[in-house]
Amino acid sequence: MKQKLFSKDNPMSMMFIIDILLFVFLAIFPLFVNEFRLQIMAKCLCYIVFAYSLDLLWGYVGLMSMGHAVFFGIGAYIVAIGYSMEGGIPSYMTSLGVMKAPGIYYVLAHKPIAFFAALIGCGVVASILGAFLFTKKVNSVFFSLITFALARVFELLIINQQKYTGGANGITQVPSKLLVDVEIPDNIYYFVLLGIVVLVYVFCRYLTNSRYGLILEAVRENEDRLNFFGYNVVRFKVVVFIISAVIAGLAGIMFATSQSFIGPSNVGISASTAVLVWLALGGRGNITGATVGTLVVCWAESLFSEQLTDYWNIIYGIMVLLVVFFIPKGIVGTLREAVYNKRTEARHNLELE
Amino acid sequence: MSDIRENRLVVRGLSVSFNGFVAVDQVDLTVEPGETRVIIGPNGAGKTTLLDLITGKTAATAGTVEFRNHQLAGKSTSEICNKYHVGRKFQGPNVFHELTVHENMQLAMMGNQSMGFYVFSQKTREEEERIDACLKKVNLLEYKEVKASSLSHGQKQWLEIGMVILQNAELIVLDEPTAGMTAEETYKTGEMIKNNLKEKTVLVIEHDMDFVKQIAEKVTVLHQGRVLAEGTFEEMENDPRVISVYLKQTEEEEDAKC
Repeated sequence: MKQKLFSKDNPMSMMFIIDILLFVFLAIFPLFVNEFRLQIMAKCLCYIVFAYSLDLLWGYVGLMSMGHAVFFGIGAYIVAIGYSMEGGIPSYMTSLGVMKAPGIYYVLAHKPIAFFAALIGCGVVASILGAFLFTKKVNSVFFSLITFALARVFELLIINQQKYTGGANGITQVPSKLLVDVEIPDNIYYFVLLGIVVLVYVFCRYLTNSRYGLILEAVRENEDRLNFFGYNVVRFKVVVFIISAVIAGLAGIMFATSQSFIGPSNVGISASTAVLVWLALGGRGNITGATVGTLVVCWAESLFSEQLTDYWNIIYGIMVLLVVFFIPKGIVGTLREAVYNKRTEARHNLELE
Repeated sequence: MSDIRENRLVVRGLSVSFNGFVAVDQVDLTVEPGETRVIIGPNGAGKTTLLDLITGKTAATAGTVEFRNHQLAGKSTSEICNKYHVGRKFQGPNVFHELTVHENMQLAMMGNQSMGFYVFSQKTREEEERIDACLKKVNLLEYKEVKASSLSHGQKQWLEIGMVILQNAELIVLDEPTAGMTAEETYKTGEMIKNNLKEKTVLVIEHDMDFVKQIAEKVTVLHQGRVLAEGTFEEMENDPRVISVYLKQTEEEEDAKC
């Protein structure tokens, strides 16, 4: 029995309406702004995909990864390294006197290979890590701590291997190409990114509305109980961890190619904690919250830091505190709960009559 | 489903010790197919631990657990649930709080399927009907779209009983199904179990003596990890050993409360 998407009975219908309005807004956004603002929005689009990936993991399964930018980074760096090989040895290597790149770099110079290697790389790392952590029953706070440490290790690795990764300066002038060897102009690239956002969105919606999504939420609610209904909980956690990592890697690819840059600050602890804030503000476990939270924080950041450069971090901190105190479920989560309560109340009144 | 006459639970010499403390000691227990057996005993008698051993939550130090002529000891909980059809209701309501009653029921129904089934298959009308029928049995049909967290304590217990009924288990293990219920709710729960689990092999832990009397076909008394006595409720009520360790203690507790 399939529920209708837009009906009073479907609690998701409000979410769908908000999502469609947001995507329409994103689609007509380029008509009203200059190139500079469009570039900021392009960055937001990459971050939205990144936020979706963590929402699957944190919002639905309750696994708070504090190092999710590692997967963002693996995706971004593999593609950035591969794509910058197109003009011979890239300048970040030659300036340090490296005249011959490692063999794997020449393989990655082929665009489709780099693209898929980036996604598969994320999946492989996640499957090894997930199998290890979840079969050993590493949960909640310990999962967060281990992923947090991982983000720091990854960041240091990138900085220390300057010859091969561009070190603290990062890799610049990554060509704006995706999958195939065709340079895409910025204004068209925006729509390519938006297309990817919508595809990932549809995928996440489908997955979370399926039986699989229900089981993911049940893992978050009561993992032990689920075991006694005959579910192999470890398998579900590993699979969702891999899916989430691959989506994060895709976001990394989008970022590196659309911003033409990737550096250690985008893949370490600060990036990993930033995505936690977007989700906390927007609301976890409903996908829509990820879109809303990312847009709000990204735009607040770029507008405030233009005007009040020195105060942005203070405003940011206050914003986080206010969310934690007043709307712990985030903007969309609070809204959703209000609708649920109203509906329950209406049903109750109906019964009384 | 296979022949219900095979659904015999046979426990032999089951023991477990934690750091030298013997929680369950050489327990022998046979529950006939279709029988409802109640286990009583004072606090710390090892009742819940016994259920943990049967459902695979805790590994036994010695002894065997056989159901439908299959060995359960040493198997994982999800395997015991899937392959050998053992369902368990925990002490205190143990449900998925942030999910609706309907979603809770759905989860109980679709364990042990392939990943492809979970990702691609759609809900069917037949499933809906099964859920509705089961919700009717546990008086929760009107609460279908309500979150489990908004239910009362007793209703949460019923929800979990409903989930276990829907799970299609052949051996059903209930750990204090009436804890925290009013007398009326307790009675209703008893009728629920009697009406809906008639054909299943049922093992219940309970403290409420009226409830035990209502549902029990046979009672096993556990004391300090050992089986102290076994028989009908009337026999147990009049057994001097049982009175001395258990019924008397309950009276003392009640006196203390007054």
